[in-house]
Amino acid sequence: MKGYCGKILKVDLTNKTCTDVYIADEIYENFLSGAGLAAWWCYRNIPAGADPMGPENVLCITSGLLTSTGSCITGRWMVVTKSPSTGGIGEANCGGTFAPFIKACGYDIIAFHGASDTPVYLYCDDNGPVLKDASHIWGQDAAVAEKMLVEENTVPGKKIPQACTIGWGGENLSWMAGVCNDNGRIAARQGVGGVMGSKKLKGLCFAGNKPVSGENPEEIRRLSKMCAKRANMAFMPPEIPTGLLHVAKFLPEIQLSPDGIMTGVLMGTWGTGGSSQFAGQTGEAPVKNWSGSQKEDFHVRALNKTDGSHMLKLQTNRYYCYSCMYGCGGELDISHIKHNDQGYSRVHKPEYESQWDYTGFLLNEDNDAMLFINEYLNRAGMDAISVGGTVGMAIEAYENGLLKESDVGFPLHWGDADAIIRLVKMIVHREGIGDVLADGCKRAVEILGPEFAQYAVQGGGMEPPMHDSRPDPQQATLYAIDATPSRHTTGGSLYYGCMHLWKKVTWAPPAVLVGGKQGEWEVSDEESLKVLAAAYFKRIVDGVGGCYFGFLLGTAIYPIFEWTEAATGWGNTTDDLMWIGRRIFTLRHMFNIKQGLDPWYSRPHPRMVGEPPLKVGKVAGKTVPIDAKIMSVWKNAGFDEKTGIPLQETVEALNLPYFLDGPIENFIKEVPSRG
Amino acid sequence: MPIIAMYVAQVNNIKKLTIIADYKYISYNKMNIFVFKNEEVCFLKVEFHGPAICDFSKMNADGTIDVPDGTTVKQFIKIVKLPIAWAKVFPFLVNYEKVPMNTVLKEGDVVSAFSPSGGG
Ligand code: SF4
Repeated sequence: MKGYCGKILKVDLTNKTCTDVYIADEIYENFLSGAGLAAWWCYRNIPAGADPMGPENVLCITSGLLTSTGSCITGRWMVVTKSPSTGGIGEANCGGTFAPFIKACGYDIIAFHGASDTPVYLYCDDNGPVLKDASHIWGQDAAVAEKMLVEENTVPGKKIPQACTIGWGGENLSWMAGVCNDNGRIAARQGVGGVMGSKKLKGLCFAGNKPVSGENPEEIRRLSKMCAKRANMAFMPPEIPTGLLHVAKFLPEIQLSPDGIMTGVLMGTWGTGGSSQFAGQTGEAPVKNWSGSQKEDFHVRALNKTDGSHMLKLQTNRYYCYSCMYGCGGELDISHIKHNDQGYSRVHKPEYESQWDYTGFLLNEDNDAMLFINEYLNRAGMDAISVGGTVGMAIEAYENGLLKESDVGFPLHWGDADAIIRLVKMIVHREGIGDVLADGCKRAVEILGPEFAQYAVQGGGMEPPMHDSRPDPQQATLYAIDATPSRHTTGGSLYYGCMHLWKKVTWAPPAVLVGGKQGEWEVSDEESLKVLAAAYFKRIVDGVGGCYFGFLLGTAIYPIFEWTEAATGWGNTTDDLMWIGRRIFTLRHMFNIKQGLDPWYSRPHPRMVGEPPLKVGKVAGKTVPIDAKIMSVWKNAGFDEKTGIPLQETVEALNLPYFLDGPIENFIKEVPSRG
Repeated sequence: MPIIAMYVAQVNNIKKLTIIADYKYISYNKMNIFVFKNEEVCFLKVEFHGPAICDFSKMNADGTIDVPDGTTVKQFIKIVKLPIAWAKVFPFLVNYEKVPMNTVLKEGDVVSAFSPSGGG
């Protein structure tokens, strides 16, 4: 076995049938498994112009090629579909425990076609798949629904099943809804949960026992041991003083030559929430809906009141996703916090994104409010990043008189924790103005009027994450050029520096190691190749089920290339694997073009690139020459420099016409599923 | 102390090489930090990753620093002007392993000091 199962489960929700689709090896050899294979399936099966919320859309839930092979930090699962928020390929990625259960049922992807007219869920075990009625769990939040699914399908003495579900957001067809597992860990972005809701699919519950292995299990194990041993070197005992979080104040500038392994120090102790002090102090964190600065608007006292150290005080234990010894997650007891009108107790530790979104970004100094909102959104199955961005737009519109108290129902000021919580709940349940905001800020502008566009910070329909792109041109360019725009989990200057890709990939330029970062503002082939190296690499990571925080450890510690080779035995060099990454990258763009998107659609909101630049703070005076950067990347990717459309010679060199337009019978064989 | 010869080395980072009897003292960043017995003065390339408080002025474009053969971890920390407490409190690794301060560095070693970076 080469790590993958060689099979997709095609579930026709309209006709309630299940089909095993055997996939030719050459598809895996060219697109890997996971999100790469799913992108190919979506390209082949979603017709041009399909309504993302209609039965023509296809929703793929997939695990990665390396998942369950014995490699570590490779237990992510992904949801791939046509996104309602961007209109192009949608992809959301999640940790937790669900990924191995997909492969244990013998499938690489579960692909949902059509739509059911009544609520259903898919159960699958060694006896095969079966669609079951979900009316009794429809209306429950994602965590409760998951618990109910697991309980009703648990057979005493047998393996306990795992489930993923949508919450209220998905049921309400929100373009900001995601899919959850493990009590609120969420594949959040691009409205994939809304697509699932449109199919009346409440969840999946899996309990298979099929073995999974790679070609060379000893080598996979050897690499995993090395990875675990090295990654552990950077962990620090939890009793280190939280004062460490304040060192950022004394650093003259953002790190130039980091070793990715050192990300483990912060991540292992605080999780991603440890980043807020640094991000706030260094200007990496956008403030006041991208219009303010930490210095002026979110002073150090506020930063100290809301940083990661407060979460550690509530932490009961660390949390590890499947196959991860890194454990950046944690569980908190929030039963005694303010605002907890839902009686939440054990919850997931907020990630940096929610932490900053509901504090510095909205100027809220009430840490308890952030903790409550994070859990509320997790259980609602909503994307905390997009909801935060949309709330930011609403507050700024209110403060500037575009929204009135009569529109909202209450005053909506910066930093008003009660008002923010109220608005978040209205968005989740589509009540009042919340109904207008529930599909994100781009859609809200279409309803409310173009004068709102100035406050609707988004790129290609996606609200950007809490990583300011003005001080980081690589990040700005990645926000713009990826087929899933405005996403931070691909690269950026610091992260590219951590990855050390240039040590393994012959054409990847080294990060700036000495001198200043000024060169990163230049438009050059070298800068574009860095962006593309990160983008292609991410396609590999998503094909094999890897975690972004794993690849930040650097290629010397996180041997994705070597694991993939050990699992498949394909004889690929790292450059060959990057070529596959490039093929998937190009395919995703071709999906968007097929769906009628002009590649310029994802040009970031002017604020995201400093048009005009801020006047105060660490980001002051910075503007990214984004148009020239985008064109340079397109040129280096083999796309038309002006239009962003892949050149025919590029498409042919990647052999894409064969895979995308060749007779489908060449690549698949369909057999009705047992069960 | 019998000084036999003193000259400014033409090699990258070395300001002054003082040869005393069969020992050689390298004056590096105004510190006599290094002693070795070989006649040949060799320089090694060591890859370094560290926080922005370090002295990166001696770093080559490829992220390496040239250090004299025989340099120990402790001496290296002085060369890059990293506060010793930083290396003791936070992880300090050579080739992704924790090593004693008197470990002698080799060509191509990767030295990593904690630099505040996370993700999320
Ligand atoms: S590093 Fe964190 S998010 Fe990634 S797999 Fe491990 S616990 Fe999950």
